Amino acid sequence: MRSAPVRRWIELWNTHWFPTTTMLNLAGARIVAVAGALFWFDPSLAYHINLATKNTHFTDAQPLIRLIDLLVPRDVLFTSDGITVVYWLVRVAGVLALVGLWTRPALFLFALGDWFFVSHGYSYADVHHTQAVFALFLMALPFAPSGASLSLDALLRRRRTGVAAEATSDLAIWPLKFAHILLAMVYFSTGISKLLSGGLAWMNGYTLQNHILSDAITRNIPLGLWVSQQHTLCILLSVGTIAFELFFFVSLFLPRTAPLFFLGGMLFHTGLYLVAGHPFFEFILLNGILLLFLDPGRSPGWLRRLDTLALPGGPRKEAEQPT
Amino acid sequence: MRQPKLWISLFILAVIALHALPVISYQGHRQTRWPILAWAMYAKSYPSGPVETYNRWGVLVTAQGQRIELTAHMVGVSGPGLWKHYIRPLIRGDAALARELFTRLNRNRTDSIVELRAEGERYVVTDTGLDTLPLPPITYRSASTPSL
Repeated sequence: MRSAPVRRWIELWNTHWFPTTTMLNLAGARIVAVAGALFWFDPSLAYHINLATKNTHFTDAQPLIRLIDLLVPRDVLFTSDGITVVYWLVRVAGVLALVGLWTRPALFLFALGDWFFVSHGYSYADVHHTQAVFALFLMALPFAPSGASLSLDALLRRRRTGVAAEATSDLAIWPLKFAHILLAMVYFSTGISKLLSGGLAWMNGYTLQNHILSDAITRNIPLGLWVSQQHTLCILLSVGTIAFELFFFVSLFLPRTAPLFFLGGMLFHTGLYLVAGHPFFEFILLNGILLLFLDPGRSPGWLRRLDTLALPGGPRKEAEQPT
Repeated sequence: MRQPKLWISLFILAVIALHALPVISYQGHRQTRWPILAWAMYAKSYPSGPVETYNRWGVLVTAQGQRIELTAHMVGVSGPGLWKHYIRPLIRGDAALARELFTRLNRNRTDSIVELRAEGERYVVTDTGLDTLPLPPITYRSASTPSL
């Protein structure tokens, strides 16, 4: 028997994470995320073969690589042939996940493959932050009905049974909410660590000038060289950076403001790339996915048209209206 | 449908809770818990004063006198990894690392590497633009100590 306060907490939890919503947005998120991972963030096979063959051991093995290393001898998997086989298996899984055939197993294999390559790249003493949140989001997708709409699975099911699948589910929105909360956590963590470590001096302009100059020199970025010489502009940019990172979490509590924060995130990371060469492309894509698909009441028009095209026999069975 | 929600809820809670781990046990630059990471990026602040930076790179000289730039690909690390784990220690005079690097680079070479130089430049923002100043190179020869 659960006590009333516990039941109330569970109810609140379920209301937040598992409201009944359309599955169309989840399908759209699946397509954009997988396409991005397949064609934009594709791990370089040559790079991974070079890492595996030039090194005899992992310097700082990441958890997944430690696990694999326990199960499979290094000279079997971490060779030119081994890495090539994994690479192509992951690509095939990615294409299946994109078109939605055996969607959830394909998504799981694709996400696992993505984790494998990122972990492998970071097992030689060099870790970066660009992929972590996106990888967690990708790993959440197989555990939601990601292939119920806009997929070959849905088409085949309809052809087989003559009935369209349910249009809504209470498991359709949690991966997007999960990505939202992770973004809020990492932005806040980044912002607060600047203030705790650097204090208000982080916004004195000189700090950003030094950071930008350092990156612009090593990466040969003319725009960054110019910005690093503009003191007032750097004060404004550093105040904007701290404000964005510290207050992104507000979008969790005031959903109406969320699109502004997502758009701000896309511009923020695009600016970082143009000025300092920080390749946070996964963050740009994730903010874009949340901008397009997080609000189930605002399915993009092209997504609805695509769904109608995929269902020539008529509209889907509506289970329950989105809440 | 209760069971999937329970597992998903545990997954969400676990991922969120795990993010406390890098804060409680900070690993610095060498993090080994991807994708659960500490997010303290570019946290260092600089006092008001000159805006300056350094750029360093490695140059290899072969027995036949050819000059080659040391790349991450040659060593088998990433670009930032080359800086953090090779160039920076070489600048600080790590002769043991230089010996290891000679062995590593000469493994499959016919024209072997005989000299390794850590070269660099200092850049300073001034009222008139960006000044560039060369830094003294640090040189390692096969089986030798560094010389300035």
